[in-house]
Amino acid sequence: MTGQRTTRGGRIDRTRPVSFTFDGRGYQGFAGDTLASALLAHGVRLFGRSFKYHRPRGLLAAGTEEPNALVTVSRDAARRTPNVQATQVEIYEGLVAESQNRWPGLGFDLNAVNSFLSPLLTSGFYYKTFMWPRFAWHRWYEPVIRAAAGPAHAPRLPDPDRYAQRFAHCDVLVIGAGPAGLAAALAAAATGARVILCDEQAEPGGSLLDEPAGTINERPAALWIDEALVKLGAQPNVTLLRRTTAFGYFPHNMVGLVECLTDHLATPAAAAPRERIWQVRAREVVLATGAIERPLVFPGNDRPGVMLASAARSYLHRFGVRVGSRIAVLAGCDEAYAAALDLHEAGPVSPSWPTSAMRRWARARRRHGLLVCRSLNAPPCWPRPVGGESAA
Amino acid sequence: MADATIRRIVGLPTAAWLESPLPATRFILRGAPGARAAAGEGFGLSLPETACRAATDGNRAALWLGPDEQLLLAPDGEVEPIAASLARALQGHAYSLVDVSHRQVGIGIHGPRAEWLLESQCPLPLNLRDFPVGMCTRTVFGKAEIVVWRPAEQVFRLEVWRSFATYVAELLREVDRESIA
Amino acid sequence: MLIINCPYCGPRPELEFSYAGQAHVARPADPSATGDDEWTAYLYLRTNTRGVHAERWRHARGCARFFNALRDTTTDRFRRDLSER
Ligand SMILES: [Zn+2]
Repeated sequence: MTGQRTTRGGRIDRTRPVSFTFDGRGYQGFAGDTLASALLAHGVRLFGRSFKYHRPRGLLAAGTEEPNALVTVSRDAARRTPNVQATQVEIYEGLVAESQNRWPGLGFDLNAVNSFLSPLLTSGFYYKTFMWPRFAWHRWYEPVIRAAAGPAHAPRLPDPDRYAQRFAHCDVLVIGAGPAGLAAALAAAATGARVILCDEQAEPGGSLLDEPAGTINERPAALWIDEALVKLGAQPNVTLLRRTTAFGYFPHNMVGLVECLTDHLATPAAAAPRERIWQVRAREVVLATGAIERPLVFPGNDRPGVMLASAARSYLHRFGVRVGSRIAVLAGCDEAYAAALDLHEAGPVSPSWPTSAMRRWARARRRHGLLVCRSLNAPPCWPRPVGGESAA
Repeated sequence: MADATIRRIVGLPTAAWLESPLPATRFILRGAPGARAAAGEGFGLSLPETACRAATDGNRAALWLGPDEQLLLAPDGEVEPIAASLARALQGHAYSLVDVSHRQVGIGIHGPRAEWLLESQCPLPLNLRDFPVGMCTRTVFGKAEIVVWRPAEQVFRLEVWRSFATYVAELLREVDRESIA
Repeated sequence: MLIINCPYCGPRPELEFSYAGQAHVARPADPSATGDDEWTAYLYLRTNTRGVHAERWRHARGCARFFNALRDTTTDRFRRDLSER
């Protein structure tokens, strides 16, 4: 699976190239790219190594559900943030990012030897099993294990940034600015209620950003978002918070939000706080957080190249990156069929395994001349097709 | 020292919102309804009996702090005449009257951003609907206990104990920095 | 952070309050005539209610008054109508 940039499409600004480095190598993306999408567009597959066995890790997702691609982003010696998801890092001119859990380098990792020992290191294995003989823990095992373990290194200097905090009170707090959240905010704002709408992404729109062909009230999705934002922006009773994650729902409708203010900027103002904590007391809370696709469980599903179908669509439609040239789609739900069709339109897809018989998808598939296989060679832990279609 | 800090803030180019330290004559009066009524006559305005409300007359104000507790404010330097007048009016009542003029520092916050500045660290809703003109209460600002009073739509007056005044003033300045950025 | 209804000031954030323990724990009228068991019970024994619990709160950074309130310990909901001075 080697990604490449499409010639057009996506919500990136192709007129504004952005240079950054990953593991010391220079890359160029576009304004609107995340670190993940920009690297994927350059064919980068390997984003890190796993915590214990140092198995190679690539991108699984395109958003905040990404479990693998943890990187360290630094501005200077003191401003060094480990364990951020590459899918959540907006690139800016001069961004410096590094992969984690590799020594001496990401491609050749001495600790990957743990992979060969993995039958001995079961998932419940505790490092202190290396205790015996007693003196050996301090002298031999601990230094090596401590060096090998831990996802990244914290900066050694004090944090020079400022962090702000704020109380807020509203009638309706809407968490998530996707189609449901935007609609809820519009409806609440129309009644004159004080509304706070927050979304963890830089750009409101949520799943609609991945659905350029979708429509709402017969309006194209992108246009509907723009119109909703204009309407909300014109209302003094609405506060829209971008890059703001709701992290806790406390008693009596108190919700904690963290707003990222400067992490996406190339040169933040010196006095600007980096983050702001909001303690919002809402009369009503609308959770419009959307859904996250569940990955299927099968041996090797953590290998680079295995990706959620929703993520593949997101990279294609939002960032203009086709995740590979030869793509197999394992369908467990509608999303996978939609992904197969979308990716197929951007280049050939083969083969695809259906696991459920949905006539309209089958028709669409045939119309597009998509190659479909039964799950004949699927590992036994994969779900069996239920009345699956024969190969088209 | 606290006063010096606040004066320094007043000197900031962006600090048009912060009024200089407000020297004042301050008394805490505690007493039953009869004593409060009598004190009102001695002070020259009837003390508020509604919870969390202030009464004003000219340059004197009485702030409801608790069911039997009032904060009396008057211009600086009037401790002796007010104390004498209240003592006369309160004769025969059980009450306590404490001069706290120098225990507290007054801070005035003016302008359209006053509400925004205070809501950074004060957990009460300070919009006009929930905190109307004339409302006053003891509450917190960050870790400090304060009295906040809204004498006009875009004016708040804080009364802060002297040892916390530096903290509150520095915190207000810190919040103000957010808007410079 | 809970919203607690002060019977004097109305609903206010928990930050302004301090907890003052179980309500209606009466001090023995004559301590010198009180036996060890009764004194122990007064000092140390409290109910650990699952459900509605009568307790004392003080609006310490507000009107400074103590009051009684009923809180459901399973939901943290206060019986607003039943706060008393
Ligand atoms: Zn109260």
